[in-house]
Amino acid sequence: MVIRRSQRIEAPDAIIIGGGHNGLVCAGYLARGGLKVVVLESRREVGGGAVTSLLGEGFKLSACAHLMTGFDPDVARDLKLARQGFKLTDKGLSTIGLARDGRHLFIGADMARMKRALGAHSTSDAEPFEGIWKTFGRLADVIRPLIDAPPPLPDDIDDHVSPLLRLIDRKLDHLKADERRLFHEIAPMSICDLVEKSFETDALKGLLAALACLGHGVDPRAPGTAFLFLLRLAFEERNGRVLVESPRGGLGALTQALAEAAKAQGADVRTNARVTGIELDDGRAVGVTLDTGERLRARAIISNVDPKTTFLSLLPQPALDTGFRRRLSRYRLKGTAAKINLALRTLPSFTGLTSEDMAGRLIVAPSLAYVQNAYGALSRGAASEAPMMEIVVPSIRDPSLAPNGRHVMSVVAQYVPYEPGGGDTAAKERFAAMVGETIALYAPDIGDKILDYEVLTPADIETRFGLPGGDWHHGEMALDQMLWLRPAPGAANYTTPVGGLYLCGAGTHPGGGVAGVSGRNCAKTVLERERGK
Amino acid sequence: MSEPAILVQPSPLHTRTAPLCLTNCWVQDARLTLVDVYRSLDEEYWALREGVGLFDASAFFAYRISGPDALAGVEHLVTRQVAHLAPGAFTQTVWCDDYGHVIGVGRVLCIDAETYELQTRARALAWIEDTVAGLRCRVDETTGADAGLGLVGPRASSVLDHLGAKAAIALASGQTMAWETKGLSLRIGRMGSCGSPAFRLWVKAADAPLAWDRVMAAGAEEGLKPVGARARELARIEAGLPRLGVDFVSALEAVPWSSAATPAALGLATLVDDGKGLFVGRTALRRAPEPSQVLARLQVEAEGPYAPAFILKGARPVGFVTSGAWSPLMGAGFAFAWVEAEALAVTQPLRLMRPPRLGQPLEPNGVPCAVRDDAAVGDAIRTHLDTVQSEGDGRVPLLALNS
Repeated sequence: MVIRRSQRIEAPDAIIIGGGHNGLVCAGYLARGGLKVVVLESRREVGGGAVTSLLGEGFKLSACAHLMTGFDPDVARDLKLARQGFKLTDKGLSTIGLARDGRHLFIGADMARMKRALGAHSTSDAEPFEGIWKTFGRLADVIRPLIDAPPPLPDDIDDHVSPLLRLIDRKLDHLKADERRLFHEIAPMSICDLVEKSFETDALKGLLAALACLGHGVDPRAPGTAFLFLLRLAFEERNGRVLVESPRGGLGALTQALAEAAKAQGADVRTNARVTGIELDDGRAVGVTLDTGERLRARAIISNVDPKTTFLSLLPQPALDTGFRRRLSRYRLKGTAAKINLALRTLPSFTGLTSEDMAGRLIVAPSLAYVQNAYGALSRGAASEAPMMEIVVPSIRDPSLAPNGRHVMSVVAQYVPYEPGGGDTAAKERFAAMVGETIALYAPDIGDKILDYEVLTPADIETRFGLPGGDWHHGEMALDQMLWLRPAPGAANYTTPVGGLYLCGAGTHPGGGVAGVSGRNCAKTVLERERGK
Repeated sequence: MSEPAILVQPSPLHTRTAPLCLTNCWVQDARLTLVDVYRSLDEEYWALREGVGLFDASAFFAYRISGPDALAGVEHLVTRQVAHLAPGAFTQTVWCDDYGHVIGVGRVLCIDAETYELQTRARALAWIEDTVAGLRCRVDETTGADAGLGLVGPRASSVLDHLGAKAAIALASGQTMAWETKGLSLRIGRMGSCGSPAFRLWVKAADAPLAWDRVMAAGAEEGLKPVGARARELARIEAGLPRLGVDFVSALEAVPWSSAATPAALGLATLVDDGKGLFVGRTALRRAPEPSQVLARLQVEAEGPYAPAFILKGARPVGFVTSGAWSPLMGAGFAFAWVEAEALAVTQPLRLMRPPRLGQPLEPNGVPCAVRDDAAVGDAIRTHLDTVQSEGDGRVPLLALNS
């Protein structure tokens, strides 16, 4: 890919603070819509948490986020990412629930294989699984329109839920009676209750609970976690296509392509440009100040930064109504996942998996109790002794990531506190060792393969990628911080109580994940409001 | 200062007011017990209107906001411009929530460029703290540190004269001055809210009984009378000043939510300085539609009681009365009532359905009432004061909230 210098815009219509994937998607759409856009990224490269970094000599991998989950194919098409050399390594990744005895579970296109795999655990789940899985899929269909569009906003405080209910109601008409009942039950349910109620195979329960909780700092017993599970299904599958994807060149290739696509449309994407404050004029956002003292004005200021930083740090105070400020200051933002990146001598052998299988998304959550115990440690303020994990080996499909015959492995391990052991290096290393030992239970030769590795705790993720709290979702995705409540009522549809200030990051509906939906929805909102002014 | 453990306390003036209270009628206001009526409501009311009265004005909560950003914080908190206040000056104001609904009413006193005090009759600490969060200023509750004495009536100036506080007589409404006399340190302020000339004396709580004694002694010649809360309430209703907790509720406590009101709905739009810069609720107030219900000031051509009562238009109820009283001075009844704005716009007469009274015939059609003419009421009160004022105290603006 050729990295172009962007053409300098001195008098922009819109300024985007932060060049994460959502900021870049937003920039692309705005530029396409005819606005003069400047993206100001504080770091040396764009991408935020979606970047490809080097690990030792000749190895590179997605340093933070390592999968595109629910990235809308329409965004790639609209922004002509293919022209920038953007390519996926494969069709969607299948998901494999690892079992120590090799009786792995397979979720993805091949239902027959899953049935066989389940049959090795329990005959009573193997038969009904397909029906139940389809039901889950249909329930996910009900909420999918919600994640694509700006959230339904309550018209006013008295009419809080009805817009959502109306929208859902139309979808509910397509469900069977018992599915409809389940839908109403599921929102306040915990994933533990949902899987306990649906299945008896412990490995399956663990796998699904992990899918609900991975990336979220939530207790699998907490109400609302079943909804997170549905949300993942809604994100990760669209029109029968699995949207768990990996770009050639790692996630950095996606954000580089997004930046190039935006530039191709005329956007000015600047790096090493740290915004220190948003300027207000009589309560309206009119510009930004950079750490160099440079000031830039525009009629739309769009923040790709998390909502708490945007409102409480970037805005000069006082700028907010008290009630809104109260809600914002209570917005929960904390990462509970560590990222472990490994450079491998050769491909390790996972018991019972072919190298084809290993190119999928491997989940370590062999039982429901395992997931619960992993969280239990966090609730005591410690890192999990036996962490739940999501493992990918992207170099299997993308040899460009490692020197010939060598591989890279990327692991999300949960749960860890912000700084295990209060920032003590030994505690961090102990956690890394624990992750290694845990992987060795499934791939016994992993220990001999490791050439190099790095461990990123939430604190490291915060420093390195500019994600406060190390929370790559820009705020916990619990029911009280989703839909018209994300990040807070009054700022939930990409506009904010501050005139001229918009939000386009993961702290807006539909939330975290490398999906680009927030960026696109925000751009639509900005274009509707600012075009023709 | 820490929050008092006892929620209702005697006033710092209790040792002076209690012996004078022959009725044993008490009320609670802003955490204190206050005398409702000392001897006779009639006597106390006329002291305010024709002589001079002294009342216990200690029932308020006080919050001190101090630091380099204190002014920015207070400006953001309240609807009224504060920046122009010189040290010693105060202004009446309201403050609103995000929706532009009134949370509180009070006065902001400028102590110096970096210190402001908010005095109000309802607790407000949490709201103030959250409003100024992120600013370089601190909020301290100073409730109870000072006691207040209210000196009201056409002869109030003479009492100050006898007291020796001549300079205070010339204070303009909304101004205060520090003043010391024989071991007593006071702040004297000129009020302007209920028609009669009114002064307020703030003093350290411990010195309050001494201050009371001195003022009572100075007022002996002028016939100074202790005045209870009920007479003050009457004067307030005459003056057309709505009261939080009686005529309207704080937006933070409004149930149902629709009972929260904007300053305009309360008839307090003059307390909002839209052009002063951003303040909490401004965005909402700029977008707010005309209120569908307003707190109307009604004049009733019949004696009370007026509350609780419905307001009828034809046979249809269009509102309800929140407080009211017979004004001896005006010879008319005044009442506050929440009324549909539409019902006020049309000329068809309103009627007030008084509660049934024992021994009186039922009134199936109620009694006539109408929106009162504030200007005419103000003129009448002023004319009356002019006639009773020997020393020509000057015209006192009624509804002088724009101090």
